[in-house]
Amino acid sequence: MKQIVALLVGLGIGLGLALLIGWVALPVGPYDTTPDVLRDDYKEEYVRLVSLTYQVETDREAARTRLAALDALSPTRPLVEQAERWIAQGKVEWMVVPLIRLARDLDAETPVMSRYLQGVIP
Amino acid sequence: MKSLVWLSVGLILGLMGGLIYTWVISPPIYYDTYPPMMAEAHRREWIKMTALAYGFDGNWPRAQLRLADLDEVEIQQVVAQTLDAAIAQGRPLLLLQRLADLADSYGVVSPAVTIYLEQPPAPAPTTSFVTPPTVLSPTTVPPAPTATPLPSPTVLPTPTPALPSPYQIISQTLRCASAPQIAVSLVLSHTTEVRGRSQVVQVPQPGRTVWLLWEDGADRAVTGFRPEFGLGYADFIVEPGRIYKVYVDTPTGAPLVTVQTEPCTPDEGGGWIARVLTILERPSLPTTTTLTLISPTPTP
Repeated sequence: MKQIVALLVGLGIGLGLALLIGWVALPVGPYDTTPDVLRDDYKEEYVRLVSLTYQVETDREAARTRLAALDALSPTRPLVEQAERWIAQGKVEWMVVPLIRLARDLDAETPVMSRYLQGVIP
Repeated sequence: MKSLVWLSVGLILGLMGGLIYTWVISPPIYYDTYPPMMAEAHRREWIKMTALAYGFDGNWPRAQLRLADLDEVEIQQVVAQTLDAAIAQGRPLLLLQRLADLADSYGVVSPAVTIYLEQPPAPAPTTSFVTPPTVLSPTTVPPAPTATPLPSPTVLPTPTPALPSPYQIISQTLRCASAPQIAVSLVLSHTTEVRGRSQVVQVPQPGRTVWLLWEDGADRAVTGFRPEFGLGYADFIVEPGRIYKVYVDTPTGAPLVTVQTEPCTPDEGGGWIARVLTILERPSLPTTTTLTLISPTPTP
Protein backbone atom coordinates (compact mmCIF):
# COMPACT_ATOMS: atom_id res chain seq x y z
CA MET A 1 0.00 0.00 0.00
CA LYS A 2 2.80 2.35 0.96
CA GLN A 3 4.49 1.63 -2.36
CA ILE A 4 1.41 2.65 -4.34
CA VAL A 5 1.06 5.85 -2.35
CA ALA A 6 4.72 6.64 -2.94
CA LEU A 7 4.31 6.02 -6.67
CA LEU A 8 1.25 8.29 -6.87
CA VAL A 9 2.96 11.04 -4.89
CA GLY A 10 5.96 10.77 -7.20
CA LEU A 11 3.74 10.92 -10.26
CA GLY A 12 1.95 13.99 -8.93
CA ILE A 13 5.16 15.84 -8.14
CA GLY A 14 6.68 14.88 -11.49
CA LEU A 15 3.61 15.97 -13.40
CA GLY A 16 3.47 19.28 -11.59
CA LEU A 17 7.13 19.95 -12.27
CA ALA A 18 6.69 19.04 -15.94
CA LEU A 19 3.77 21.42 -16.38
CA LEU A 20 5.80 24.18 -14.77
CA ILE A 21 8.77 23.47 -16.99
CA GLY A 22 6.83 22.87 -20.22
CA TRP A 23 4.42 25.79 -20.04
CA VAL A 24 6.28 28.38 -17.98
CA ALA A 25 10.02 27.88 -17.64
CA LEU A 26 10.92 26.33 -20.98
CA PRO A 27 7.89 26.55 -23.26
CA VAL A 28 8.32 25.18 -26.75
CA GLY A 29 8.30 27.25 -29.94
CA PRO A 30 8.08 30.83 -28.72
CA TYR A 31 9.71 32.09 -31.91
CA ASP A 32 7.52 30.46 -34.52
CA THR A 33 4.40 32.54 -34.29
CA THR A 34 2.42 34.08 -37.14
CA PRO A 35 1.23 37.66 -37.70
CA ASP A 36 -2.33 36.83 -36.66
CA VAL A 37 -1.26 36.48 -33.02
CA LEU A 38 0.63 39.77 -32.92
CA ARG A 39 -0.47 42.29 -30.34
CA ASP A 40 -3.15 44.61 -31.73
CA ASP A 41 -0.82 47.58 -32.17
CA TYR A 42 1.64 45.40 -34.08
CA LYS A 43 -1.21 44.08 -36.23
CA GLU A 44 -2.05 47.66 -37.13
CA GLU A 45 1.57 48.27 -37.94
CA TYR A 46 1.61 45.13 -40.08
CA VAL A 47 -1.38 46.31 -42.12
CA ARG A 48 0.22 49.71 -42.50
CA LEU A 49 3.45 48.12 -43.68
CA VAL A 50 1.57 46.06 -46.23
CA SER A 51 -0.10 49.17 -47.60
CA LEU A 52 3.15 51.16 -47.73
CA THR A 53 4.95 48.29 -49.40
CA TYR A 54 2.17 48.13 -51.94
CA GLN A 55 2.83 51.77 -52.83
CA VAL A 56 6.32 50.68 -53.88
CA GLU A 57 5.71 47.26 -55.38
CA THR A 58 2.15 47.68 -56.71
CA ASP A 59 1.84 43.92 -56.46
CA ARG A 60 -1.74 43.14 -55.52
CA GLU A 61 -1.23 39.42 -55.05
CA ALA A 62 1.75 39.95 -52.76
CA ALA A 63 -0.30 42.39 -50.69
CA ARG A 64 -3.23 39.99 -50.54
CA THR A 65 -0.93 37.14 -49.45
CA ARG A 66 0.55 39.28 -46.71
CA LEU A 67 -2.87 40.29 -45.47
CA ALA A 68 -3.95 36.65 -45.50
CA ALA A 69 -1.39 36.05 -42.77
CA LEU A 70 -3.70 38.06 -40.53
CA ASP A 71 -6.97 36.59 -41.74
CA ALA A 72 -6.79 33.68 -44.13
CA LEU A 73 -10.54 33.56 -44.76
CA SER A 74 -11.00 37.25 -45.47
CA PRO A 75 -7.62 38.87 -46.19
CA THR A 76 -9.03 42.35 -46.81
CA ARG A 77 -11.06 42.44 -43.59
CA PRO A 78 -8.20 43.72 -41.36
CA LEU A 79 -7.35 46.32 -44.01
CA VAL A 80 -10.92 47.58 -44.32
CA GLU A 81 -11.47 47.63 -40.58
CA GLN A 82 -8.27 49.53 -39.96
CA ALA A 83 -8.90 52.05 -42.72
CA GLU A 84 -12.40 52.80 -41.46
CA ARG A 85 -11.21 52.91 -37.86
CA TRP A 86 -8.44 55.34 -38.71
CA ILE A 87 -10.83 57.50 -40.69
CA ALA A 88 -13.16 57.59 -37.69
CA GLN A 89 -10.24 58.41 -35.40
CA GLY A 90 -9.19 61.28 -37.65
CA LYS A 91 -5.74 59.92 -38.42
CA VAL A 92 -3.65 62.05 -40.72
CA GLU A 93 -4.17 61.73 -44.45
CA TRP A 94 -0.75 60.27 -45.24
CA MET A 95 -1.47 57.37 -42.93
CA VAL A 96 -4.97 56.66 -44.20
CA VAL A 97 -4.65 57.13 -47.93
CA PRO A 98 -2.23 54.22 -48.56
CA LEU A 99 -4.68 51.91 -46.81
CA ILE A 100 -7.56 53.11 -48.97
CA ARG A 101 -5.52 52.86 -52.14
CA LEU A 102 -4.70 49.26 -51.36
CA ALA A 103 -8.30 48.51 -50.41
CA ARG A 104 -9.48 50.00 -53.66
CA ASP A 105 -7.00 47.96 -55.70
CA LEU A 106 -8.12 44.83 -53.86
CA ASP A 107 -11.76 45.65 -54.66
CA ALA A 108 -12.50 46.25 -51.01
CA GLU A 109 -13.19 49.98 -51.01
CA THR A 110 -16.18 50.93 -48.89
CA PRO A 111 -18.45 54.01 -49.04
CA VAL A 112 -16.70 55.38 -45.95
CA MET A 113 -13.39 55.26 -47.77
CA SER A 114 -14.86 56.78 -50.92
CA ARG A 115 -16.32 59.69 -48.98
CA TYR A 116 -12.98 60.18 -47.22
CA LEU A 117 -11.10 60.26 -50.52
CA GLN A 118 -13.56 62.77 -51.96
CA GLY A 119 -12.77 64.97 -48.99
CA VAL A 120 -8.98 64.78 -49.13
CA ILE A 121 -8.47 64.48 -52.86
CA PRO A 122 -10.30 67.19 -54.73
CA MET B 1 13.59 2.19 1.29
CA LYS B 2 11.22 0.58 -1.18
CA SER B 3 8.85 3.56 -0.85
CA LEU B 4 11.64 5.93 -1.86
CA VAL B 5 12.27 3.87 -4.97
CA TRP B 6 8.57 3.93 -5.90
CA LEU B 7 8.49 7.68 -5.22
CA SER B 8 11.43 8.19 -7.61
CA VAL B 9 9.83 6.03 -10.26
CA GLY B 10 6.62 8.00 -9.96
CA LEU B 11 8.54 11.28 -10.16
CA ILE B 12 10.33 10.26 -13.36
CA LEU B 13 7.16 8.93 -14.98
CA GLY B 14 5.30 12.09 -14.01
CA LEU B 15 8.03 14.31 -15.43
CA MET B 16 8.19 12.39 -18.70
CA GLY B 17 4.45 12.31 -19.15
CA GLY B 18 4.08 15.97 -18.26
CA LEU B 19 6.82 17.13 -20.61
CA ILE B 20 5.40 15.08 -23.48
CA TYR B 21 2.05 16.70 -22.84
CA THR B 22 3.33 20.29 -22.57
CA TRP B 23 5.91 20.16 -25.32
CA VAL B 24 4.23 17.85 -27.86
CA ILE B 25 0.54 17.30 -27.22
CA SER B 26 -0.47 20.70 -25.95
CA PRO B 27 2.24 23.32 -26.39
CA PRO B 28 1.36 26.83 -25.25
CA ILE B 29 -0.54 29.06 -27.65
CA TYR B 30 0.83 32.56 -27.88
CA TYR B 31 -1.19 35.74 -28.12
CA ASP B 32 -0.18 39.37 -28.18
CA THR B 33 3.24 38.59 -29.58
CA TYR B 34 5.63 40.98 -31.26
CA PRO B 35 7.68 40.73 -34.48
CA PRO B 36 10.82 39.04 -33.09
CA MET B 37 8.62 36.10 -32.03
CA MET B 38 7.36 35.45 -35.54
CA ALA B 39 8.61 32.54 -37.62
CA GLU B 40 11.60 33.29 -39.82
CA ALA B 41 9.64 33.73 -43.04
CA HIS B 42 7.31 36.26 -41.42
CA ARG B 43 10.19 38.05 -39.70
CA ARG B 44 12.01 38.46 -42.99
CA GLU B 45 8.83 39.71 -44.62
CA TRP B 46 8.39 42.22 -41.79
CA ILE B 47 11.95 43.48 -42.27
CA LYS B 48 11.53 43.72 -46.03
CA MET B 49 8.30 45.66 -45.69
CA THR B 50 9.91 47.95 -43.13
CA ALA B 51 12.77 48.63 -45.52
CA LEU B 52 10.45 49.39 -48.44
CA ALA B 53 8.20 51.53 -46.23
CA TYR B 54 11.25 53.52 -45.15
CA GLY B 55 12.24 53.84 -48.77
CA PHE B 56 8.77 55.14 -49.50
CA ASP B 57 8.17 57.58 -46.63
CA GLY B 58 11.64 58.16 -45.18
CA ASN B 59 10.31 57.87 -41.62
CA TRP B 60 13.51 56.90 -39.83
CA PRO B 61 12.25 56.82 -36.21
CA ARG B 62 9.39 54.60 -37.29
CA ALA B 63 11.72 52.24 -39.15
CA GLN B 64 13.91 51.94 -36.06
CA LEU B 65 10.90 51.09 -33.91
CA ARG B 66 9.71 48.49 -36.38
CA LEU B 67 13.10 46.82 -36.38
CA ALA B 68 13.61 46.99 -32.63
CA ASP B 69 14.72 43.74 -30.98
CA LEU B 70 15.08 41.93 -34.30
CA ASP B 71 18.30 40.10 -35.00
CA GLU B 72 20.78 42.50 -36.58
CA VAL B 73 22.31 39.86 -38.85
CA GLU B 74 18.88 39.02 -40.20
CA ILE B 75 18.15 42.72 -40.76
CA GLN B 76 21.43 43.11 -42.63
CA GLN B 77 20.67 40.15 -44.89
CA VAL B 78 17.13 41.17 -45.72
CA VAL B 79 17.83 44.87 -46.22
CA ALA B 80 20.78 44.09 -48.48
CA GLN B 81 18.61 41.72 -50.53
CA THR B 82 15.83 44.28 -50.68
CA LEU B 83 18.24 46.95 -51.90
CA ASP B 84 19.68 44.65 -54.57
CA ALA B 85 16.21 43.67 -55.74
CA ALA B 86 15.09 47.30 -55.83
CA ILE B 87 18.09 48.20 -57.96
CA ALA B 88 17.43 45.31 -60.32
CA GLN B 89 13.80 46.37 -60.62
CA GLY B 90 14.78 49.93 -61.45
CA ARG B 91 13.11 51.55 -58.46
CA PRO B 92 13.37 55.35 -58.07
CA LEU B 93 16.71 56.75 -57.00
CA LEU B 94 15.36 58.27 -53.80
CA LEU B 95 14.06 54.90 -52.67
CA LEU B 96 17.40 53.27 -53.43
CA GLN B 97 19.25 55.94 -51.48
CA ARG B 98 17.00 55.48 -48.48
CA LEU B 99 17.42 51.72 -48.63
CA ALA B 100 21.19 52.19 -48.78
CA ASP B 101 20.96 54.57 -45.85
CA LEU B 102 19.01 52.00 -43.85
CA ALA B 103 21.41 49.23 -44.83
CA ASP B 104 24.40 51.32 -43.82
CA SER B 105 22.81 52.14 -40.48
CA TYR B 106 22.60 48.44 -39.74
CA GLY B 107 26.16 47.76 -40.83
CA VAL B 108 25.64 46.37 -44.31
CA VAL B 109 28.77 46.67 -46.44
CA SER B 110 28.18 46.10 -50.14
CA PRO B 111 28.90 47.82 -53.45
CA ALA B 112 25.26 48.81 -53.76
CA VAL B 113 25.32 50.53 -50.39
CA THR B 114 28.54 52.32 -51.28
CA ILE B 115 27.10 53.54 -54.53
CA TYR B 116 23.77 54.79 -53.33
CA LEU B 117 24.91 56.06 -49.95
CA GLU B 118 27.74 58.31 -50.99
CA GLN B 119 26.46 59.76 -54.19
CA PRO B 120 24.06 62.68 -54.08
CA PRO B 121 20.94 62.32 -56.19
CA ALA B 122 21.81 62.65 -59.81
CA PRO B 123 20.53 65.90 -61.24
CA ALA B 124 18.10 65.41 -64.04
CA PRO B 125 19.27 66.76 -67.36
CA THR B 126 18.15 70.33 -67.73
CA THR B 127 17.44 69.91 -71.40
CA SER B 128 14.88 67.44 -72.59
CA PHE B 129 15.59 64.92 -75.26
CA VAL B 130 12.92 66.26 -77.53
CA THR B 131 15.61 67.51 -79.84
CA PRO B 132 17.78 64.96 -81.57
CA PRO B 133 21.05 65.08 -79.73
CA THR B 134 23.75 63.18 -81.50
CA VAL B 135 26.84 64.89 -82.80
CA LEU B 136 29.61 62.58 -83.81
CA SER B 137 33.17 63.40 -82.96
CA PRO B 138 35.47 63.35 -85.95
CA THR B 139 38.31 61.93 -83.89
CA THR B 140 36.98 58.46 -83.40
CA VAL B 141 33.60 58.23 -85.02
CA PRO B 142 33.12 58.80 -88.72
CA PRO B 143 31.38 62.09 -89.43
CA ALA B 144 27.67 61.67 -89.27
CA PRO B 145 25.68 62.20 -92.38
CA THR B 146 22.71 64.42 -91.86
CA ALA B 147 20.52 62.47 -94.21
CA THR B 148 17.85 60.02 -93.14
CA PRO B 149 19.53 57.28 -91.12
CA LEU B 150 20.07 53.95 -92.77
CA PRO B 151 21.44 50.79 -91.24
CA SER B 152 25.15 51.41 -90.97
CA PRO B 153 27.94 49.33 -89.49
CA THR B 154 28.26 51.39 -86.36
CA VAL B 155 26.19 54.35 -85.33
CA LEU B 156 23.04 55.51 -87.00
CA PRO B 157 22.78 59.20 -86.28
CA THR B 158 19.46 60.85 -85.79
CA PRO B 159 18.48 63.75 -88.02
CA THR B 160 20.21 67.06 -87.56
CA PRO B 161 18.81 68.72 -84.45
CA ALA B 162 16.95 71.96 -84.66
CA LEU B 163 18.33 73.06 -81.29
CA PRO B 164 21.72 72.37 -79.72
CA SER B 165 21.74 68.96 -78.15
CA PRO B 166 22.94 68.46 -74.58
CA TYR B 167 25.00 65.45 -75.67
CA GLN B 168 27.79 64.86 -78.10
CA ILE B 169 29.47 61.61 -79.05
CA ILE B 170 33.19 62.10 -78.63
CA SER B 171 34.54 58.60 -79.08
CA GLN B 172 33.71 55.08 -80.04
CA THR B 173 35.71 51.92 -79.60
CA LEU B 174 34.77 48.60 -81.12
CA ARG B 175 35.83 45.19 -79.92
CA CYS B 176 34.98 41.66 -80.88
CA ALA B 177 33.17 39.61 -78.26
CA SER B 178 31.37 36.31 -78.19
CA ALA B 179 28.04 38.16 -78.10
CA PRO B 180 27.02 41.69 -79.01
CA GLN B 181 27.11 44.01 -76.04
CA ILE B 182 26.24 47.57 -75.18
CA ALA B 183 27.20 49.10 -71.87
CA VAL B 184 26.89 52.59 -70.45
CA SER B 185 29.03 54.59 -68.09
CA LEU B 186 27.53 57.92 -67.15
CA VAL B 187 29.75 60.67 -65.78
CA LEU B 188 28.88 64.20 -64.76
CA SER B 189 31.62 66.73 -65.34
CA HIS B 190 31.79 69.75 -63.07
CA THR B 191 33.87 72.68 -64.19
CA THR B 192 35.21 74.70 -61.27
CA GLU B 193 37.51 77.68 -60.99
CA VAL B 194 40.66 77.09 -58.94
CA ARG B 195 42.95 80.14 -58.67
CA GLY B 196 41.56 81.51 -61.85
CA ARG B 197 42.01 78.28 -63.76
CA SER B 198 39.24 75.97 -64.85
CA GLN B 199 39.37 72.50 -63.45
CA VAL B 200 37.15 69.64 -64.59
CA VAL B 201 36.06 67.01 -62.09
CA GLN B 202 34.19 63.99 -63.37
CA VAL B 203 31.75 62.28 -61.03
CA PRO B 204 30.21 58.91 -61.99
CA GLN B 205 26.44 58.98 -61.95
CA PRO B 206 24.87 55.94 -60.31
CA GLY B 207 21.14 55.49 -60.19
CA ARG B 208 20.44 56.87 -63.66
CA THR B 209 18.22 54.86 -65.93
CA VAL B 210 19.40 54.08 -69.41
CA TRP B 211 16.90 52.77 -71.92
CA LEU B 212 17.29 50.68 -75.02
CA LEU B 213 14.31 50.65 -77.33
CA TRP B 214 13.95 48.50 -80.39
CA GLU B 215 11.24 47.79 -82.88
CA ASP B 216 9.02 45.70 -80.64
CA GLY B 217 10.44 46.03 -77.18
CA ALA B 218 12.40 47.94 -74.60
CA ASP B 219 14.90 47.31 -71.85
CA ARG B 220 16.37 49.49 -69.17
CA ALA B 221 19.36 49.39 -66.87
CA VAL B 222 20.29 51.45 -63.86
CA THR B 223 23.83 52.71 -63.65
CA GLY B 224 25.98 51.76 -60.69
CA PHE B 225 24.99 48.17 -60.16
CA ARG B 226 28.34 46.80 -61.31
CA PRO B 227 30.86 48.98 -59.50
CA GLU B 228 33.79 46.95 -60.78
CA PHE B 229 33.19 48.69 -64.11
CA GLY B 230 32.57 52.10 -62.55
CA LEU B 231 29.84 53.72 -60.52
CA GLY B 232 28.15 55.11 -63.59
CA TYR B 233 28.17 51.79 -65.39
CA ALA B 234 25.24 49.78 -66.74
CA ASP B 235 25.13 47.19 -69.47
CA PHE B 236 22.65 45.39 -71.65
CA ILE B 237 22.22 42.03 -73.28
CA VAL B 238 21.41 42.75 -76.90
CA GLU B 239 20.34 40.64 -79.84
CA PRO B 240 22.47 40.21 -82.95
CA GLY B 241 21.44 42.27 -85.92
CA ARG B 242 18.93 44.41 -84.07
CA ILE B 243 18.78 48.19 -84.14
CA TYR B 244 18.63 49.89 -80.73
CA LYS B 245 17.78 53.42 -79.74
CA VAL B 246 19.47 54.69 -76.59
CA TYR B 247 17.84 57.07 -74.11
CA VAL B 248 18.84 58.39 -70.72
CA ASP B 249 16.35 58.77 -67.85
CA THR B 250 13.20 58.66 -69.97
CA PRO B 251 12.58 56.83 -73.25
CA THR B 252 10.84 59.77 -74.83
CA GLY B 253 11.68 62.19 -77.56
CA ALA B 254 14.49 61.59 -79.97
CA PRO B 255 17.02 58.92 -79.02
CA LEU B 256 20.46 59.84 -77.84
CA VAL B 257 21.92 57.57 -80.45
CA THR B 258 20.85 54.65 -82.60
CA VAL B 259 23.06 51.58 -82.60
CA GLN B 260 22.94 48.44 -84.69
CA THR B 261 24.55 45.24 -83.49
CA GLU B 262 26.64 43.54 -86.13
CA PRO B 263 29.11 40.71 -86.51
CA CYS B 264 32.87 41.07 -86.63
CA THR B 265 34.58 40.27 -89.89
CA PRO B 266 36.20 36.84 -90.36
CA ASP B 267 39.60 38.57 -90.24
CA GLU B 268 38.80 39.69 -86.71
CA GLY B 269 38.05 36.15 -85.64
CA GLY B 270 34.27 36.26 -85.87
CA GLY B 271 31.98 36.99 -82.96
CA TRP B 272 30.03 40.18 -82.41
CA ILE B 273 30.99 43.78 -81.98
CA ALA B 274 30.85 45.23 -78.50
CA ARG B 275 31.22 48.95 -78.67
CA VAL B 276 32.41 51.93 -76.69
CA LEU B 277 30.67 55.23 -77.22
CA THR B 278 31.49 58.36 -75.29
CA ILE B 279 28.91 61.09 -75.41
CA LEU B 280 29.63 64.50 -73.95
CA GLU B 281 27.13 67.17 -73.09
CA ARG B 282 27.57 70.46 -74.88
CA PRO B 283 29.74 72.85 -72.89
CA SER B 284 27.30 75.74 -73.18
CA LEU B 285 25.45 74.53 -70.10
CA PRO B 286 26.68 75.23 -66.55
CA THR B 287 27.65 71.62 -65.99
CA THR B 288 28.70 69.10 -68.56
CA THR B 289 27.57 65.53 -68.55
CA THR B 290 29.67 62.85 -70.14
CA LEU B 291 27.84 59.77 -71.22
CA THR B 292 30.14 56.92 -72.06
CA LEU B 293 28.75 53.94 -73.82
CA ILE B 294 31.34 51.26 -73.34
CA SER B 295 31.53 47.58 -73.85
CA PRO B 296 32.46 45.31 -70.99
CA THR B 297 35.64 43.34 -71.42
CA PRO B 298 34.82 40.85 -74.12
CA THR B 299 34.93 37.21 -73.20
CA PRO B 300 36.17 35.11 -76.07
